[in-house]
Amino acid sequence: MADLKLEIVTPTGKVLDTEASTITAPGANGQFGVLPDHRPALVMLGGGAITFETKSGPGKVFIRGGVAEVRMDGVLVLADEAIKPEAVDRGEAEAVLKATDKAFAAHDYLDDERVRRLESDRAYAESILKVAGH
Amino acid sequence: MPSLKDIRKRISSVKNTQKITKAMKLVSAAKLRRAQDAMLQLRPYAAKHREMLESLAAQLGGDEAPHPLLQAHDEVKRVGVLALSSDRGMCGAFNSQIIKRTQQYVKSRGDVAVAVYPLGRRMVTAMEKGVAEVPEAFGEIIPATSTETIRHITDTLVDGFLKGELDEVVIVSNRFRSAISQEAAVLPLLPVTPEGEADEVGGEMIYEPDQTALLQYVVPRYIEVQIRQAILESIAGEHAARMNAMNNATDNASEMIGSLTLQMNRARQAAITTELMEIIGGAEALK
Repeated sequence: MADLKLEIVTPTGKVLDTEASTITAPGANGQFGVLPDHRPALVMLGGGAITFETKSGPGKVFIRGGVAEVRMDGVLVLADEAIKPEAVDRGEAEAVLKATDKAFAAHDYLDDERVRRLESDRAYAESILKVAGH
Repeated sequence: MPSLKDIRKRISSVKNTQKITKAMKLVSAAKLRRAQDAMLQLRPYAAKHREMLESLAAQLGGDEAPHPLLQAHDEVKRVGVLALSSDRGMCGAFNSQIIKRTQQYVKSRGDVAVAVYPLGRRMVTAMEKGVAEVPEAFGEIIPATSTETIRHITDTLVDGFLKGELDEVVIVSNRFRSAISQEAAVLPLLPVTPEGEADEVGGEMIYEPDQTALLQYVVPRYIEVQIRQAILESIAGEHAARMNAMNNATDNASEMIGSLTLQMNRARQAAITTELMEIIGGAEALK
């Protein structure tokens, strides 16, 4: 079975370009997995970790919301922000978490888009903190 | 006629200035490379967003716009302008050009109220002179490349549009055409007008959660991307303009040093000649 091409692109450049046999990503409505020959799809992503299996072992990239375009032969992730585990900054994740809590507390009314955005920010920060340990 | 000492002093001061302009030119060249790189990095992301937006909008399209940000307002009473400049000067006509373009735009809208949102210190100062109403100044442009700031700008403009406070939003900024040319341009931002047709693959695509929700996500992101692109282009343009301005300044300084050196040599020669004449005159008198 041919490998999937996994690309993660953010506004500041390409974060990842690799071949993977399986990919799981945090969809806005829950995790989903992609295997080769998946039906084409456009999926909204929440925050969290994209995990994938390459020949040299498993890999992981944290994303802060985005969209994934799934094609038969690969996945293109357009992430607002993406960060590799080795570049993770614990302090920054904590700051993001604090900022989302503050935003939730500060506004009594938030439209759906902003709630979604804040929730995905929070999931992103939490997924990093979980890995970074205490 | 200035004395020899005066000319020497001037030459050394021009030389010092030349050192500074040369250094600034090199710094700008390095910064330009980085800014251009950032611009190129954004391109694939921006292109993909545009593509998604167009395909989703075309599929959902009907008589009514599928998203409020795509819906043109019936009557245009107030226009928002996001005006971009640099924070610092010394970049030739870069800022004056864009400030003039902004004023021109405000004037061209005639009776329609215009609200200017300046970004970049030069624009903020220029707009304080009462060209148009300024509901919010976004401050400096260099720190504005962070996601937080761009989101804040996007939210402010989008909110204004959705609440009906702004009926149209445009970006006035210097577009980066090449390292030697920037163009002051007005780019319509809101309402978003997608062109293009539904893809062939559209039918068999799975959309998760659904097309409307995806469009809801893509449209604001697309606006964010457009704003980011304008900011990055403006920054790249600024460095390019500064590099050119400093290059010219360095050349001018060289020219000036040349003509001052000539003047200095003449003055020295004149002094020598006078001294010689005096000595000869003195010797003649002793005969």
